[in-house]
Amino acid sequence: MSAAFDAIVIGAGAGGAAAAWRLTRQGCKVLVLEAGPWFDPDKDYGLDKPDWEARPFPVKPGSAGRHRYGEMQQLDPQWDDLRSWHHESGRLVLGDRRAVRIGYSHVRGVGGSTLHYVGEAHRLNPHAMKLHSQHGVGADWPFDYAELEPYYVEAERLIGVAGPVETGDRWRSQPYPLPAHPLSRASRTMAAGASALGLSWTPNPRAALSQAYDGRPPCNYCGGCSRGCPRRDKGSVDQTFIRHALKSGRCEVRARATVLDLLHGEQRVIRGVRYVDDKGRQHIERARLVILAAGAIETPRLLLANRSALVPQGIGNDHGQVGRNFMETLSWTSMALHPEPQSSYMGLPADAICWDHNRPDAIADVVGGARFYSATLDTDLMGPVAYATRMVDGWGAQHKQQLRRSFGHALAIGAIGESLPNPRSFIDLHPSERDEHGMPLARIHSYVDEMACRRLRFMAQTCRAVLKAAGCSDLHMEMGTYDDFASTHVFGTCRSGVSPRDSVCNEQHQIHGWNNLLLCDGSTFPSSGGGESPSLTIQALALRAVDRFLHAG
Amino acid sequence: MSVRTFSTWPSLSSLSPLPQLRRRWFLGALLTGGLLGWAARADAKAAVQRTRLKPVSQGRADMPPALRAFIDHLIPADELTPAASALRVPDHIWQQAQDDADLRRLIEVVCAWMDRYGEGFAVLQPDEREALVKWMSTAPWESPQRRFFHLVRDRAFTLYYTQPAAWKGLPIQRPPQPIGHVLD
Repeated sequence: MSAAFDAIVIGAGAGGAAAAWRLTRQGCKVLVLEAGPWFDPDKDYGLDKPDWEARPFPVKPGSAGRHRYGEMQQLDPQWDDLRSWHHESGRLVLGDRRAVRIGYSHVRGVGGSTLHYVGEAHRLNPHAMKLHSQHGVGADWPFDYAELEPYYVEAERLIGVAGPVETGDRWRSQPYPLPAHPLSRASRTMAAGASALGLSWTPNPRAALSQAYDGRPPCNYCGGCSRGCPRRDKGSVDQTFIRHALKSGRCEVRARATVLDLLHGEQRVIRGVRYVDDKGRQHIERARLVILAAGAIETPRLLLANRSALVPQGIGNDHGQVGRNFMETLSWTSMALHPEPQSSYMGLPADAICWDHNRPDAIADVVGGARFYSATLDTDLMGPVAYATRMVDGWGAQHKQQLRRSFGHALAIGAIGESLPNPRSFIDLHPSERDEHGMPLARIHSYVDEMACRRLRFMAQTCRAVLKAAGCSDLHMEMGTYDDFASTHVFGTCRSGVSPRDSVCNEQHQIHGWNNLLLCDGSTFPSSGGGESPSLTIQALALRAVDRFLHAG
Repeated sequence: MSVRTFSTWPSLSSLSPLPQLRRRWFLGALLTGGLLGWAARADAKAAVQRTRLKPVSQGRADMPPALRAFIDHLIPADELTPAASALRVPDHIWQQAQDDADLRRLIEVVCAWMDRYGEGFAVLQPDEREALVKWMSTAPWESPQRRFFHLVRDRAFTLYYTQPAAWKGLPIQRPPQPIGHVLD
């Protein structure tokens, strides 16, 4: 029986969507299977409702994956300055063990986590791609920045990335398709503070339109990207790659379709997939190429769960590498009130960024860089509820008056740092807990080691210093991932490399020994970068992987 | 980055908002109250007995009177905006509690505790209410009073400030979309 599709893509997030689009451009017929639902910007997002502040990104049936956590680490008093706290609540993690208050933040749906991301569109720092050979930690990428650069250009063009003229470490063959967004007043204030400390603060490359582009309107600076963009100007992949893939007529997206099996026989060839739809009916689809793009938690889960006589440890796991080298979001955020009005409820989240410490050797006595950014809207300080519950003390008439006086004064600075692999951070299958289809749940093990704590300390101290230099006196809240596992970016659990002994896929992102199974998500990253948001790199990698596969015939 | 939860609710060993009531929290409250003179009638031992956990009452019960008074103490009317009860905030919270057994039990237990003093929380003098609320706001997290204070405060502010009638005096008078903002 001939297959109806040339390729099956599992997962419609950043990587799967980019891969699907590329395949359609090359004339392939593609089936995209997405475990989560569609989201309709006209109906599902609530930024135009009076109670918009009580409407975070919507949860729909099937839109949140289930997973578990291993035991988190004991906290060490020497890092008490890295504990999360709030000026009224006190410490946000009680006791002496790391908590999981927030956990792995993601969306299952057509668009994946780009649906709720704020839309930073970062290229990886070329200096962050040779950590092992140049700094003796982590792993090297099996290719360099020059190899990825043309694919970055293509992804940026499709999305309509708005960015600055200055390139810094990230050389470019072509300018950004759209000019950078103007900085908000709040970000200009933080830029002045950063400048007083000798730090440069530049417009952040953003997957949000600064001008009308590709039939989509420009951003109107409502600040609510993470609640879902009703205007469609944010470059979430449902509005960019998927939309164009569907337009080609060669792509079909099946939502609420959960893949159970990667079908294979006695040879290392994937023949197709078995999946279950939202009504519980099982289906089989076959294709000559299968692309796994379920993210750095679900991709290793699916590989580990697909055991057979041929691969008793799971697909791609002959050397026990699947699930290892888990890298997470190492982050810090400091929040304060400025004495002067900042109109900080408006603008584009993360509109400004500081790359000064982004290289892996940029922080003294620490390996691995970090970046700093304007985080006021990123931390959701954009409405009266946020001020009333987080920034203003007490209650009563005084609380009301103080809220009116302080609204729009909030400033927040965030930092995200390199996450290096360590033996205690990995993904495995939970020994007993299973999903509704009987598949074991993924279990996340995470450990923040001493080097990470030193990096975090630098990040925290710099955030505090910039706020102080910007004119803020007392901090109101700080949150970090030393004492509270919270990850939006996840990487490394099926990393690419040369040898199957220390990697899962090769430089073309084929699983070692399985030529027709490609990985196109953050699981393939050998290193996380110095705080860059990964979606653009995931997309560039996916475009490259598809091209390599098709050109190889 | 993308959206996260920025809750000020700390991690707790028990996920239930309602811990076992412990005698020392009542003693602390009584000490505070005693300074104001209205707690003298209370007896710590009896208080513990009276608030010993019982199953949640079945069916839709009437809202405890202390709940409305407590929320209006947090969000009173002023020259620009109405009190929380005028925007039906206590009713909404009580309605939410009908589908959340833990929340309902927490409200019932702590409101019963608040009503123990004088003729009930709602008819206490403002400075007496203030003393009690202040004590609850700083009680240890293990106590039901602190959890009640935090949970109800968060919910009350959220339900209140998601109503346009509460936005007078603020620089925003409409939701962020569809108009957005012009950067200044």
